[in-house]
Amino acid sequence: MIPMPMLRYGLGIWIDLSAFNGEKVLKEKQDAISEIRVPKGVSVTKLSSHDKTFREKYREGLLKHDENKFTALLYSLLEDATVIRIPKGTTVQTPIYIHSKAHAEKIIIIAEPHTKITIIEISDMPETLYFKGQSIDVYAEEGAHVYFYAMQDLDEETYNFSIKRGYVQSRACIDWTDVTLGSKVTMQHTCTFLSAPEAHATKKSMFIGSAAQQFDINDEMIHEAPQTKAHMQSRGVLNDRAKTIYRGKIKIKREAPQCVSQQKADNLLLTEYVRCNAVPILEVDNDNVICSHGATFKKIDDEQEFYLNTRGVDKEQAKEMIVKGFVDELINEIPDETIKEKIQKRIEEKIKATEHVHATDH
Amino acid sequence: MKPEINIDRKLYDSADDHTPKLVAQPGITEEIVRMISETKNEPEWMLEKRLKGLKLFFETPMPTWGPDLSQLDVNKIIYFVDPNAKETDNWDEVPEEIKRTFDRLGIPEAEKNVLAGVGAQYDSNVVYHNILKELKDKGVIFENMDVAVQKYPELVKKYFMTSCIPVHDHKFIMLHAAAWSGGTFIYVPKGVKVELPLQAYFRMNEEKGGQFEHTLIVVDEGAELHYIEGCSSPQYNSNSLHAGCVELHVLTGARMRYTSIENWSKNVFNLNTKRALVQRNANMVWVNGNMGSARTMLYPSSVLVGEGAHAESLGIAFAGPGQEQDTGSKVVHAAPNTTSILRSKSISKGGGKASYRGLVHVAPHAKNAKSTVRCDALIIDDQSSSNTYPFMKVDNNDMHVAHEATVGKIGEEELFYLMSRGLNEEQAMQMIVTGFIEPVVKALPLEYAVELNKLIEMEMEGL
Repeated sequence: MIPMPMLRYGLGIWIDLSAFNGEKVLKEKQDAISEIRVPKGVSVTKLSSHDKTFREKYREGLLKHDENKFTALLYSLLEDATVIRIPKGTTVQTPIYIHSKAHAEKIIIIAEPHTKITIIEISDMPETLYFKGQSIDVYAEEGAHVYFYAMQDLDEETYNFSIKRGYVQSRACIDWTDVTLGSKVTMQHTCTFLSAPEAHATKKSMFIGSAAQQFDINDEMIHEAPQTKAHMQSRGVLNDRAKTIYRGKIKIKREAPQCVSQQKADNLLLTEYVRCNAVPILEVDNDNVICSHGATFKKIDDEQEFYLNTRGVDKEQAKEMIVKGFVDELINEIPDETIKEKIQKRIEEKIKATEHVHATDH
Repeated sequence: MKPEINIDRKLYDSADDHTPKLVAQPGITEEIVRMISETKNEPEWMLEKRLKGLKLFFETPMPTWGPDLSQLDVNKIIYFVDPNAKETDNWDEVPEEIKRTFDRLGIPEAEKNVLAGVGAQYDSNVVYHNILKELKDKGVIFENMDVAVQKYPELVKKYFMTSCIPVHDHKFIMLHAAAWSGGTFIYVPKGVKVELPLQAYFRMNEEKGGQFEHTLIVVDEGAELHYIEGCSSPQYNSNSLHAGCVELHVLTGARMRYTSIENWSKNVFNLNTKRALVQRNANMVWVNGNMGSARTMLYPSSVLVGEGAHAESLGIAFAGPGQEQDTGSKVVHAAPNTTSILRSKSISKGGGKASYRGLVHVAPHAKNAKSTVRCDALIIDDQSSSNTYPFMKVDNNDMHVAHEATVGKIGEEELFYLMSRGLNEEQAMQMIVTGFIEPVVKALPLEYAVELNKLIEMEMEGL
């Protein structure tokens, strides 16, 4: 019997998965595949079409299929992994678009040495998927620079289970930006391994929870080599009865001196019924580091609101302005105007006050 | 100027030649629990509580999180040692060996100088207790917990392991409930301000011993109290266990300050539980220093149950070779307009591991609660580790919560500056470490501040 994922972190911090029905997923299995648009020079292939040594190198990542029900489901729905390869030395201005439509997908992105590439991944299926599993591995080889923007706006009946991993080599860099808006329950884990000297990574997470949405956002930076640098930043907005857990972990191994790593999580709570949790973790195994983290929780500042009111902005508009200002820093770098506009529009919808909000213990 | 004080690790680490009256068999069984209860001539309800604790202890698995407890064998611990002495309030009547130990630890001197009352616990029983007559006249009770059960049954029954720390709280509290012995009971009546600190010293002397002292303090409405606790034990080859329990009831408008310096020897498993229930407009301050022991799991908690309650916590942990200090503060904001300030400092050295594990919980109806947490960790060498695990659980939006933590080493520039002023490296490092822990040291009474500084200095030697 494979257990359900343990979304419990002690001390009463947990995500409720009791309503999840695994059989429903298998019955409704569809064969939709994700659309991937790539600029010239970038290749998209199936993992199975590659030779054995290649497959051995990139297969499976760290995922174990029997870890929990969600990983098992992801495996059961998977036929093959998609490999996106950016050949050595390529600098592409046009982004790679991944329009994620499949129930389950595994994508391996290999940025070969000295490449520069932007990836935009969108999950916004209009119909109910019920379950969505995703595993994306990004390999930034020596000197490569990968910008990865993801926007998730699934319908509010879907359980979304996403695992992203980054492997950053010497002088390479991955910049992640995640925008989480949709789904019923999201469990999103982004883990970046800084595995060679001078590797660099940033992670920005923005999430807006409304209605009874539950998000579990887990960002990790693993410093495995000396002189690696990382920065994590998260901004969460909670409306209605939303519940979020933000976990940010910095791990600095003994063999990785001279690292710099920072993490900051800010949360803006719009109603009194929200449940907001943060567990930032530092694990430091050597002394030669600069390492810090922080977390804040606040509501909309009365003074800011009052100021805007005196300038003729009504309460709802003031709220909108303050929320947009709060998350702006994280989304303004997205290189696609249409997506940015869409996010702005969804923010407006999601932070609107709903009338029937009842306090329940969840 | 170095303070003239002779504290040496040897002083704590050497065992005393003392023959106890009664040593129980290792391991915990119903017979032993009944024997403890019988020796103390306890009322029925207390025995029931003990047996309930024992039953729950057997049913509950060991905790799987936190430091490694695999070296702790609860079946090899001796749960009850009755030192060959009756409680007395005259220092001269205390047996010679016990007196010598406490003399070395400076207990009677301390009493003469600044402290209002002294209780000293030797293995399982309290051997010496005194309180200034003045306080006695005001109705302040400062008693050995065993005696309090007999003398003040109503007060004890009302507060003993009920609302603050119930018997079923966690595995080691269950064990504590079954095996507790000695400790301190303090009751400060309404409006009485105890101006001088009260003090207790706990010492575990028996090899493979366990110490399960129970501290219960009730500070009634508008009263004030400062309580100081010190702990030590000799160094043996086998592991010992300390699973104490501290329950504080800070009633409406009262103020309580709890200072403790725990310096158990380096093979003690210190699994201690400390919690305060803080009522309306009351004020609770924790000051904690953790130097010794092999593993420490200690999270002083404040539950702010009354409107306007305030809690502060200042902690310092020092993890040397082979040590794992897993400490942190917890605060539960369970009422509106409650505030808390938590501050923690840790130093790890020579392969030691210092972890901060804290909790800030803002309950749904705790409007306008405010909490700030600040943790700083200093790592002295590349063999040592520092972890920070703060949990923040916020269940309403009318609050302000912030957490901040940093980890780093001693700055090369600071070191260079001090060395260019003629200090050698060791002195410079000591000076920086002393500066790092200063906020905590400042909160301690003078003699403890001196002791803490001295202990840190000793730990920092031979870098």
